[in-house]
Amino acid sequence: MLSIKNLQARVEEKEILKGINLEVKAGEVHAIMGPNGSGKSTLASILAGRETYEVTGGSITFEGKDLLELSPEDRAREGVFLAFQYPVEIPGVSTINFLKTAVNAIREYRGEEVMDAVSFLKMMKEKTKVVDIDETLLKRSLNEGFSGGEKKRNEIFQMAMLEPKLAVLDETDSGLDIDALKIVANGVNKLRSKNNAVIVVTHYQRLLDYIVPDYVHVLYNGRIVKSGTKELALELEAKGYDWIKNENTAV
Amino acid sequence: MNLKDLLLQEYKNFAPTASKALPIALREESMKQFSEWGIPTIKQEEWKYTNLKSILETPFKLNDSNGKAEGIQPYTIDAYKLVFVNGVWNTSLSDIKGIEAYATLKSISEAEPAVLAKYFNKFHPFQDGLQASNLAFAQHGIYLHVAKGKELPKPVLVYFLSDTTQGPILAQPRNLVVLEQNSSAKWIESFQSTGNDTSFTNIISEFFLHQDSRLEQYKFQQENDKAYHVGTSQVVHLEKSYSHSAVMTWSGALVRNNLNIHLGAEYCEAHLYGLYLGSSNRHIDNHTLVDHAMPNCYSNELYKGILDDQSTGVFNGKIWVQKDAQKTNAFQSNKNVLLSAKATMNTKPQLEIFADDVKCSHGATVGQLDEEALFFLRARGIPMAQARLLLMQAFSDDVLNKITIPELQEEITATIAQRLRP
Repeated sequence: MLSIKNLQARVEEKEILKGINLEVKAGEVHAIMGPNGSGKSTLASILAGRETYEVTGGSITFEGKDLLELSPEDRAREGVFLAFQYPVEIPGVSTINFLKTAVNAIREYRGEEVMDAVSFLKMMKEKTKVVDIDETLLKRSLNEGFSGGEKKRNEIFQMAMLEPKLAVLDETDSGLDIDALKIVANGVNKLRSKNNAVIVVTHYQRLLDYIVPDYVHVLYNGRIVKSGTKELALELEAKGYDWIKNENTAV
Repeated sequence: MNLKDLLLQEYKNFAPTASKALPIALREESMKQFSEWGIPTIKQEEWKYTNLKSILETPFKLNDSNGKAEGIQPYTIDAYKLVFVNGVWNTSLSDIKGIEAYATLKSISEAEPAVLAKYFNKFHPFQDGLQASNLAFAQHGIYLHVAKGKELPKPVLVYFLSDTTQGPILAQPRNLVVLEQNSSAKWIESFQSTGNDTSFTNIISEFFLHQDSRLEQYKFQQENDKAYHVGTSQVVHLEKSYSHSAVMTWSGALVRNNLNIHLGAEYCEAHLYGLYLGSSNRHIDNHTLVDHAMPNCYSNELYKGILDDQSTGVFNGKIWVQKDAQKTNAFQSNKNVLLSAKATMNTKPQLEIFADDVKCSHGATVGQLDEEALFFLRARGIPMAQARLLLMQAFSDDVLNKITIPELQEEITATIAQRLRP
């Protein structure tokens, strides 16, 4: 589904990604871990098409298409979804309002019929159950005055509505207490299927107790320095990131 | 002939035919002031950013009664309807049936001298040549007087149409609205034009609010791209009266909206809202004054603008809190979005506070559409143009939501959305 080859990127003059390789197949969950500043969020942002980063080398292929050639909106319409680390607040635009536009923009792109108001509301009602989000929140200005947990739940709710092929969760666990974390993880698990894939970007192992990954990659200093299965996350938790840092400075 | 001379000469023809309701001495005095002051120039502080020089040589025709009302784009709301064409009231097109149960409505030139003596031209904080000219020529306009305890069941909707198909047109309407104690009215001014020539509207509407009365007034500017407009609303509040004003501009070449509010007794409340959309070379100027003269009054002001291309915007918001006006609450906010590097916004909040126990706040912002919000919407599959539209609509909704007549709100919102579309 997703193939990242030797991806290099920088912001202004600073090199951040120094050759990332990653293969993700349908049905898989990959966790990307790493200390602060290792490039995790940069990778997530580049997948979604954020323009503050300049890709200086390598390639990203998604379902056979050159992802880097596509605008952010076309990536979303192809099925890439980014759950934002810092969900945006937009005064005057409600979740329902922009999701209706988004759902139909995606359907239009895929040559499907535009969804009428009734079917949209029905779908919305169903999906609110996935993350147990209060419908009144969805009628309010996007994320304005929402708690941290509500914002993250709203991201997963949007994911449920847009039914992406590839979901990238950028530190979705940050700022969540354990109850909110469980709700969010539970929501993601409900959406997992053999046809879609998830990349979980996280600093802590904690989230991976609830969203169990098939593969864990450790990103350090712009490169994936270790890959393994979920046990790697536990080892990291036990030994700390210094283990990775020391190992890599030694080389 | 330049505009000043044109008006001086036209006055000579006009004076003998002028309505006697207004003392001729007042007109003469006003014309004398006009001949001294002339058309405002950018040398005057109040006109620093708004330049009328491009119409000074236009051969305008005044109060042309041959204008045609065809081409008015009517609103669908149920209202008492009045039509002015080129500054002249076209009574045959008006529909005010039934209003007599609630109010007196007639031409300002038929108002009783005693009424004029009591209410007319009582509050004029910033006099200039245009206001002097309007006063000297005061003849065409509505005098609406809502009776004590009466609530107008429908809004009064006045269309001011400039028919420029036969050449440039100048109009100087003058309206007077009096709300008696405990009465209420909604007043809508819609400025439209036909033809592609220049028009210049120099209008003044005065509102006098008795105790416990309630006014809602709306002003919608939708003339052609050669329309010049200087409009002044003067609102005088007596005890516990309430006003709600919304001024929206999305057309015209140069538009200057003055809104001056005098809170002249205790426990008054005034809300001022403005929305302006600039594109091409449009120039939109909003000057407001809230004069807190007495204690315990409340005012709240929100003006928002979106400026594209080479358009310019001006906001000047004065709040005066006089020394007696203790316990004043006065709030003001002006927010602007510039869509183009060549668009300009001049914003100036001006608070002058002479009382010590008051709560006042003001803020002005000029910025771009939020990049992070745009990226977010695009990352959800919404194309750039539509994402921008969503953000602009959200921005303007704050003001559009202040139109309290639901059908009208819907209609104007749809018109604005059309304007915002690329």
